[in-house]
Amino acid sequence: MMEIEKDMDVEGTHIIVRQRTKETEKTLDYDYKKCAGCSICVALCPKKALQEGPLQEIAKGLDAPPVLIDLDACVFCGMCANFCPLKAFKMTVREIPKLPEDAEAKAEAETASA
Amino acid sequence: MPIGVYVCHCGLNIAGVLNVEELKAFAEKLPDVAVARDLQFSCSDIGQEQIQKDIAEYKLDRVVVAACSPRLHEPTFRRAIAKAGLNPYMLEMANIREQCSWVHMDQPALATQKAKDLIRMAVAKSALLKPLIPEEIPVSKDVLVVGGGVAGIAAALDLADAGHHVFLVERRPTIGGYMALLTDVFPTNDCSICVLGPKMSEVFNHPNITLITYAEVLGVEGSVGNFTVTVQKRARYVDEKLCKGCINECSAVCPVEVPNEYDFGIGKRKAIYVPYPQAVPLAACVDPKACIGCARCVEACPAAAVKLDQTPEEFKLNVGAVIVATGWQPFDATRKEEYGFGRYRDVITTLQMERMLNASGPTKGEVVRPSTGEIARSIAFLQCVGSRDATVGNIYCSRICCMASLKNAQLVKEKYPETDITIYYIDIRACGEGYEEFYVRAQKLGINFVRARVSRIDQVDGDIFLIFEDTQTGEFKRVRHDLAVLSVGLEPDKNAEVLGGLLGLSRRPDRFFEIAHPKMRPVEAHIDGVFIAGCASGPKEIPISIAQGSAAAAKAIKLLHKGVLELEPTSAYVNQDICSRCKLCVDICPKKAISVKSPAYVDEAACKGCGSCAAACPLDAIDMRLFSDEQIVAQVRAATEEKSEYPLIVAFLCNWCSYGAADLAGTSRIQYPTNARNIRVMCSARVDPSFVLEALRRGADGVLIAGCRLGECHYHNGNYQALQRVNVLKGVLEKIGLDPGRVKIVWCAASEGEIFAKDLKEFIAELKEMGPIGTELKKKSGEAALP
Repeated sequence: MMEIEKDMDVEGTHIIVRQRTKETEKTLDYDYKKCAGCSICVALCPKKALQEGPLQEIAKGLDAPPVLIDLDACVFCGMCANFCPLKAFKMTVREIPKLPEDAEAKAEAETASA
Repeated sequence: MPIGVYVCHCGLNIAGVLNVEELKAFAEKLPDVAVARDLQFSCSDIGQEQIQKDIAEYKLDRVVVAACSPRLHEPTFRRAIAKAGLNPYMLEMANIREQCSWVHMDQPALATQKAKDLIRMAVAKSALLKPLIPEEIPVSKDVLVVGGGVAGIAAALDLADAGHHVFLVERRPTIGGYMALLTDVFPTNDCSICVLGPKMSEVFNHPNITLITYAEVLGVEGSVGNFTVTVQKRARYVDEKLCKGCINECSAVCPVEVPNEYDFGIGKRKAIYVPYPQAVPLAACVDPKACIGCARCVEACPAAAVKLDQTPEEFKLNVGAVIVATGWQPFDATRKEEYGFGRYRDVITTLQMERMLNASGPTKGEVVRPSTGEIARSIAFLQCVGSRDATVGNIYCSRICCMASLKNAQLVKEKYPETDITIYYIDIRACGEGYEEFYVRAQKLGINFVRARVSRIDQVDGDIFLIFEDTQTGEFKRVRHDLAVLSVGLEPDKNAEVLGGLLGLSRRPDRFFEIAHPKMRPVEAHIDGVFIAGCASGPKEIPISIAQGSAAAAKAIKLLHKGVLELEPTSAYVNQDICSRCKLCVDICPKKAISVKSPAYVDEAACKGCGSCAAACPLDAIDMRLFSDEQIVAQVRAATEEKSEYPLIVAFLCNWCSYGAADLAGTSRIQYPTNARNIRVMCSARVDPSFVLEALRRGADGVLIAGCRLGECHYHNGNYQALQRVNVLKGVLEKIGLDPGRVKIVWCAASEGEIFAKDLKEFIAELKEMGPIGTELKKKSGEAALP
């Protein structure tokens, strides 16, 4: 089975989640300053990985993200990014360049000999 | 136009009643007759040689033989005149044996008079005969098989082994049908997939079979020998050729789980899945309704076979024949609300039971209560759920469910001997080789049988209770079970309706496809070149489905193996200058042979020559090559030229049943009066109301139309069309002042000579009551004259 790694970072108002496989790195960048808490993404997430935050408190001035991301549940399908009316979610996919075949073989041989 | 007339003695069969010399003398004087002879046995070599000699000597270009029924010797005389260089269709027969001498043995004078009329009618018709040449059309030897269940697989393999190329189109991503999902099968309890699996891979590997799965037929054009079929292969989102069938790599990373339709909802599958481990082709498939597009499978696939940008493919196939093996679907048990299926978790269907018992199924062969996951210790099987039940519209017996429950009960009992099993049944139907023995075996294993149709299932505190009347003891009972298995019936596959419409297949009241004859043509459809196999034409067991698949294959091979098809030149044709494009004929044609693009066009390969379109055409733009309007009208006129009898009846008899019945009356020597002058037509629907009016106008006292019994028409529903026309015609007669009773339509099967004679006698009596034609008009004017 293909290995999948995930991690989460917070940079200012950005919540950044990442998924890495041997072929791609997918990044979902949620800028909660842009988010109005409309919850379209919550309703639409096929894995129910998004959840409403403390919306009432936020409306009263609490500085917190209106949508919470469950990293374990998220599969990086990108639907939230596609549907968000305020573009608070941004999804980027970076292909991980494959090592040239002989280089790969060489690397394997090296590890084997090591 | 020299015509030769031959009056046959048939030994004394004809000459013993009719005065054949008088008939010969009468024939000689008829217009255009160059020679008339009476022959001892016209069908003998001597008789045939005489006809052939005369053809040369008198330069005859048409021949009338007054002898037995054309249903007996028309082919003989056609061959005889063809040998002498005449076109075989330049022959007309007057049936003076079965429909004259044999049925009027006590009335020689009247019978001779009738024979004269019959000969005059035949001569009049013969003058209008046209040479016809049977056309040969090249046909495609390829065959389309729709449906990859066991019947379709059997058909495809037989055809492919015989050298025909087969396109096997299957709607699902794998072939195998329902049989591939069953556990062991009755009555031998051998493993279903173990016997079917090898056949499935044989299909996949056969050089003569193109397997097209996950595809649907979108269009069918053309007719027997040359169908053009449009097929759409849906996007599977996986390249079948690249996929290695490893199953797990893609589906393991897929985040979406949905109920597995191949386990009938008791198990789960991913959005990317292989239906089951033995699937053919062994390739994954993405369910577009479930997929969320995360593309993990794309990355996970080591063969790079997942292609989420795949689009549906459409292509056209040219085939000579189509075998419909679209199968069945289980009755939706939620429709029997009283059993709580879908609400009570411990109420399941036979198919779910099959999957549970299957070692590769969702429970790995364990029979559990879905509510608790524990082994079920007490199981009830409820028979006839959705079968033999008018409340859900299924009166028929689904035929396999008794045996399936007996089998499942045995399998459970063998696996868990302590289990208490009860089968609730109306009747146990175990008719088949080894079936009764199988039933006895179940009884010996200690399975209980209660004769009851369960009226309700209740669930109380998580337990289910069956409520029923034991009809053997008359007691009302309420019994608890761990698990209730609904023995759901078989219904025709809903998805096949589209194909049925495209091919023009008709349906029985039970909604399964109708076969051409309920006994004699079990795998043929009404449409030429289309065959039906397996459960598409009704519930069937596996061996019968296989037999039907092979039978359909044999029929298709018989049809196509020469590569050419000879067309009977009896078809309809359109006079394009007259056609107004009203399209009436299109709906009437039982063979879907007529299309109206510019003027109407008859596909002569599909036309079977019933002539209903010619009768229906309001402008007479359609006519028949044989049994043309002109020829039939000439017979009507000849029949009424000399009103030699009272009441005089012109009778139109359909070739298949009523003409056969009239012949049978002859061979059975059933005696009836001589009043009818019979005209053979291919179908009662051929009778154009104008023929009837012409007969009455020229002085016939009544017109009889006889067809096959309703529902038994050889062209599907021609007799209903005839009935409708007669009903309209009766209204017309009433308007013009004639008694509507002067037209009568009757039905008789070819086996009902007695009924034909009885109907005719009744009609004669009715006509005598009415008086000669026109009596009613005189009466009316007389009444008007009175103060």
